[in-house]
Amino acid sequence: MGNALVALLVKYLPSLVQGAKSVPDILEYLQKTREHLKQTKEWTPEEEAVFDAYLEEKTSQEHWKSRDQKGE
Amino acid sequence: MKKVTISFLLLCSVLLTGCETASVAYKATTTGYNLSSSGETGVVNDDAIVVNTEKILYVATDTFDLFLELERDNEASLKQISPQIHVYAEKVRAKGKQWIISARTAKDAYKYNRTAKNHANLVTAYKTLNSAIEESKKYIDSAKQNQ
Repeated sequence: MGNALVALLVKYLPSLVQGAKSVPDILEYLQKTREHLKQTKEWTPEEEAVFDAYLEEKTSQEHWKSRDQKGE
Repeated sequence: MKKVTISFLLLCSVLLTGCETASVAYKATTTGYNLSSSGETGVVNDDAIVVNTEKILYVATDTFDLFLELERDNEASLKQISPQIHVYAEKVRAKGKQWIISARTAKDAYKYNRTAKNHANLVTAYKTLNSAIEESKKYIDSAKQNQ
C-alpha cells in the first residue's frame, strides 16, 4: 500500500503542487501517520502531555475556525 | 481551478487511505477486543484498544488538521463540486476537537480503571472518532463522482 501511495504522489506531483498544500507538508503527514501506527506500547504520562500540547497547537490554527458562524 | 480541485480530491483520497490503516489494524487485532479475564467481576483487560486509541488520536488530529487546511485553501472551488464538502468541514471544525478529547478521556478512564463500563465507553468513543475519519473520506469520494 505504501508503494501505491508513493506511485500516486509521483504521478500527480505537478498538479498537486499547483495551488494546494505543499507536497513536502503532505509527505510529512504521510510519514507521521506511518510512525504513529507503529506504536506498540501505551503512552507514558509524559507522552500524554505531549499529545495534549500537540492537540492544542493544531486546533488553534486559523483553518480550524469557522467562518460560517454568525458575527464572524 | 479544476486542476487544483482534482488535485485536492486525489490528495485527500491518498491521505485518508492511510487513516484506514488505523481502523483496519484495530479490527484485525481486536476481534472480541483481545479480552482476557483477571477473574475479577467487571474487569476487562484489553490492552490493544488503549494502544489503538492512542494511535488514532494522533491520526485523527493530523487528518482533520490537513483536511481543514486544504478545504480552507480550496473552499470556493470545492463548493462548486459539492457543497457537502464544506458542510462536513464545518462539522469537523465544530466537533472535531471534542471527538478527539472524548476519545482521549474515555481512553484514560479505561486505561487507569479497567471496568466493563469504561471499556464499553472507550469502544464507543473509538468508533465515533474512527467514523469521523471514514466519513471524511466518503465525502471526498462522493465529490469525485460528481465531477
